[in-house]
Amino acid sequence: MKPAPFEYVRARDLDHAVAVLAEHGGDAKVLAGGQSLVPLLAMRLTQPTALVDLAGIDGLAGVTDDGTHVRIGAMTRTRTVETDPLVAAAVPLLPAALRHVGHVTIRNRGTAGGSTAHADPAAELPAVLRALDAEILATGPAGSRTIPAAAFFEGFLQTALAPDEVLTALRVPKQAPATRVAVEELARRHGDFALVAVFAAVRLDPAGLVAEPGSRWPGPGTFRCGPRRPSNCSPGRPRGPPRGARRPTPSPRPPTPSTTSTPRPPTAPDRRGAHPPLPGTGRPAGREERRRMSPETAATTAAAVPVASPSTGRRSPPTSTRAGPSRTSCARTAG
Amino acid sequence: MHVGCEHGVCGACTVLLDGRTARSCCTLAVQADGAEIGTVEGLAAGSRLHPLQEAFWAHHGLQCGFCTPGILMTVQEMLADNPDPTDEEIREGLSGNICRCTGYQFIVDAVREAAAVLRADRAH
Repeated sequence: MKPAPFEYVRARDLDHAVAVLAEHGGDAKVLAGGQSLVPLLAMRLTQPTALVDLAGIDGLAGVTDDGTHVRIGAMTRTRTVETDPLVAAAVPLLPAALRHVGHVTIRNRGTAGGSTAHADPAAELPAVLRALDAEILATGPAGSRTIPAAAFFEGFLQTALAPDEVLTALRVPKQAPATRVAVEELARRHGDFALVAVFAAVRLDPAGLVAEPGSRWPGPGTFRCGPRRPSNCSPGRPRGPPRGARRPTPSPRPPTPSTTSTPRPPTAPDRRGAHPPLPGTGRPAGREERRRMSPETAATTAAAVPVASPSTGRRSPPTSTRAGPSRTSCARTAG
Repeated sequence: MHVGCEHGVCGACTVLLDGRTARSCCTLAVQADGAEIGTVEGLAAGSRLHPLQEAFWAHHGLQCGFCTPGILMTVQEMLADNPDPTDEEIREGLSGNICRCTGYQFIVDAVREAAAVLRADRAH
């Protein structure tokens, strides 16, 4: 596996990077951590004429407090964001979600900006940015601009970035204190792209009741990261069996929107060898919190991203009736 | 580099890049310009094996050995971050490294023992 020939440019500063991108008229690619791009180069799925490496530009990495937001520089490594105390305190949904990104070795190199600009609909960070109404900062020949996450992600590997624009930072709104978050994913192996991921956040009052049902998080009906959504996996209603499996007899009652009452789909036999279920497997994350919520609230606070791995195109084969996800985890904070 | 899958799946080419693990197949050489690189060759002190290597030897944590350099690099970082991992944490930490020989159980046994040895070394 060898990439096609390309020119390598280590950008001195943002202006230099933008100039090189403009010069190549859309045939150049920005190189950040390279954890998605370099394999694509190796397989020649992308053949840019030039790579513009941002690693030499000062000031693009780091997490800073930006008042109502947390600002994350584009070249901040995923592992840094995941373990940053400010992020953990102010945006607990982020570290909870980033734990699911590949493996530690990948997160050591991958960057917040790179994952965002790559816009893989199966990736965690784009989903969280959309769920939290984050902002994406970009710089191009005409200067800098701020793009709302809802307008940034346009589809599978498609963003609102112009070919000569560089993503420079993310601005993520701080979550309210006492926000509880939970992230649950269904994947065939740990570290694989999720077949289904759910990110939930809800703010509780001191009595443990829902104080804010999370209106800042879009309802599942508006949360669409990819161009395709499995028809049996629409958020807000029980998930049906995997494609090809025998469908149950339709219930005369309307589906309950709460995710807690959703029956777990059959999954493949546990063939993972080194990857046994994590603690808490089989127990839906945040069950206690969700129990206190009305079905309607649960539906508005759970943002579901059903996805199929584009790298493998595989899905859980309906070969077993054994219940339980291959992987689940829960992260919470009292804020 | 130790060539494995060459597209970021198997973990066999894992090295240390400025002290943190990286997959060398997902890193262009020019990106490592000026960085400090660590490989499995740097684990042993002369002819004295690292406790990790001793434990893998004692527990048959390898058969063909192709994945072993990457696994040792990964485990070294894992134990630096978490000196006393549970078996589940060990398995999660190993999930980015594919071994087709051992079935992983002996690797988990080796990591568990190496962690205990390293903790004892640190305590002295």
